Amino acid sequence: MAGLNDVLNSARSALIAQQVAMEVTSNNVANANTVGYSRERVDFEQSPAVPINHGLLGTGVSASHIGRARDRMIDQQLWGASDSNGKATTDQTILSQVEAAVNEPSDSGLSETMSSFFSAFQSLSAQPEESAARNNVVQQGQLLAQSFHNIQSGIAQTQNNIVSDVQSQLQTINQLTSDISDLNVKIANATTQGVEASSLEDQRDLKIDTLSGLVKVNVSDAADGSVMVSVGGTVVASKAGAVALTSVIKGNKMQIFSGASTQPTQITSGQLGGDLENYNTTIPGYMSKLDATANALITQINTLHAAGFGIGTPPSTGVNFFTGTSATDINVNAAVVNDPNKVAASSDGSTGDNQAAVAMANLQNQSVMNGGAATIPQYYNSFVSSIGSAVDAANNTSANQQLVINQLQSQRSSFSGVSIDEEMTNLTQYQHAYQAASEVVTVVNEMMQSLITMVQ
Amino acid sequence: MRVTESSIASSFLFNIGETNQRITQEQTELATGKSVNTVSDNPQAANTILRLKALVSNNNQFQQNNTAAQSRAQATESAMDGFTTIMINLKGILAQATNGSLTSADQQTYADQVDQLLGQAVDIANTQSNGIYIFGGTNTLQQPITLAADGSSVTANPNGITGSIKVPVNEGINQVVNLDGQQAFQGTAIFNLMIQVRDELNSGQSPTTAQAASVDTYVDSIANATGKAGAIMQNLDANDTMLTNQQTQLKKLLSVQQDSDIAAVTLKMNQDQLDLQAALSSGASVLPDTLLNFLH
Repeated sequence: MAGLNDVLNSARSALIAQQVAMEVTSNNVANANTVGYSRERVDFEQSPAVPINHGLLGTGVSASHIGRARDRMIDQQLWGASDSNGKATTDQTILSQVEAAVNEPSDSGLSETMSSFFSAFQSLSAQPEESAARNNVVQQGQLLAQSFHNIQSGIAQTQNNIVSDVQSQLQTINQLTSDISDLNVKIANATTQGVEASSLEDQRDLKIDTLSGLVKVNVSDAADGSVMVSVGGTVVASKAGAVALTSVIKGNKMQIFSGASTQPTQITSGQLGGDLENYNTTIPGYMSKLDATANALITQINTLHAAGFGIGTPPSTGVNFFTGTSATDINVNAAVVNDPNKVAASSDGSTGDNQAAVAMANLQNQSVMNGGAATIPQYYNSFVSSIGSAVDAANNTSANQQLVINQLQSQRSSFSGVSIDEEMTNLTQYQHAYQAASEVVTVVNEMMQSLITMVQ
Repeated sequence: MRVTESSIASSFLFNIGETNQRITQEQTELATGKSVNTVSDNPQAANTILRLKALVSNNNQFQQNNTAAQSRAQATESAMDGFTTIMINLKGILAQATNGSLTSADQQTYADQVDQLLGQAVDIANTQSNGIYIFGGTNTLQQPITLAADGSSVTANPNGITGSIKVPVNEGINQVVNLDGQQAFQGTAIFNLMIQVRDELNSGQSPTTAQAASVDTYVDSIANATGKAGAIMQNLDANDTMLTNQQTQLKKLLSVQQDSDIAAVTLKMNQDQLDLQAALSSGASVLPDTLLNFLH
């Protein structure tokens, strides 16, 4: 038969269990806005019953287990989607910078200066004797060269910025992998000792969240609660330690190496992957198109110009209008700048003839690019719209990926996030249970008082 | 589905951000008056805009070329008119001077008149427009006809006074804008004839009927050339009208591609602003509500 002490004991176990539950609730509420926090739950368990004459009698309650509410599948999905989002964001930033460098459509872009340059030759063809028209051709040529330089240096600047961006990303990645490894060790130790490591796991998973945006990661869970994180097929963080990533620029290509490996790690996604792709492929592609435009302009104009005649006795001929071979070094020939009479408008040396100027003005309508499929302005325009399309696509991808991430984050929040309403409901329940258990103690106390009075 | 405070807050912020982004885009369109401000706004339209802008700028240049050609053609036309007057005067003098019963004083007077006409004719042959000898062919900076100081002979520019000047005045149209010295006044032939008549009159010899007949042919050929100058002028005038029409058309096309539809954008922006206000006001009333408000 159970005594009053047994009643007191079970009431005491209730008080303790409810208090633990309230502590958990309090912690949940305190961390309602902590990034990466997973709400914790208390599992109550009956204490073992003891047999008495009339059957089994319960002996109270205990808070048997405190665990975090976490859905590993959502985590894996989120980590799988973050890298695409990271890459889209990087593409968006870098390509927008390229687009800004190109500065079209505007009244000061290359397209406009190229038009003005050809117009200057048209104007010269109407008045080949006019020194004002000659000076204008030289001036428009210089402005055109300047436009090429501006775009070229704008794009080159963007490419250079990627190098320092990659440096800081690698620093972040290496810090994260080393933190993840440290946390892994602690979690594994705690788990093997049977201790809950929720807060450590939350911290670690938050770091994996950040890492998965920077680079595509593969995360596999081990039985002891630790994880193994690999990047491009190489393990970079595990219980055994972290492997640092480094970048090397060789022959204008940037490569990533992990640890002491001599084979580059293939990184195609995430912010780092976006940086690599833009540095190694996209931007050089744009540069070469810009250079091709400049080069075609230089060689075609020079051929026509050298065949023509300037003004003078004897009239100059065989003079190149441009020097250089690419967008970087295109310039108006210094000899022409110093003496605009060397601008070759005439095809036969007479001052009134304008056929050389006409031919150079007509170059804008000659299909000399892409093996005779496009004119120089058309080639440049399609280069510009290819950048625009790339930015547009990056914007769309980024928006779509953001929606996916939002959806997954909301799922995670739905599962793991703290709901104030729920906590308040729990709090009320625990409070009432606590009050009831206290009441039991009070009653038992009174019964004991009665008993003692009876004995006296 | 379980909904937590943080998921309400983040989706609220995300949606407001989206609406704000749309409003910013619409505001940019309204402020610049252009629907395509960067290539990525509409890559296809941007390509067309660049092409149309180049066409507009070309057309502009054609108009300038046309104007320059017009002023040259106008100078040519009025010079040819002057030449016609001189030739008619010369014809009149010859008609009277072939009359056999002239005193030597009369012949002297006619000789002086012819000499004067010669001087005027050489001046007209050397007409300059904008610093250019309009009858010099392609040798535009060298005087086409030189009268010797004693008036005894004329010489043409040894580098030539022929050559057509073709100016691009429209896509694919290279308009000849000049009459060269050969087309306008047959090189030095007319001047030589005038010198011959003058010198013969001076030496008491009346002009022959053959000379009078060749003056007649020159009058005809100069009338022809004047007609040609007029035709050039007409072509240029017609081209000017065409260029103006093309320019209007191009600018209209450009406007369709790049200008924003103010009414439509304003309407859309009003709608988005309404959305934003609705989101803000509903957010403000929903976000603070928790069980806490009612637990007392």
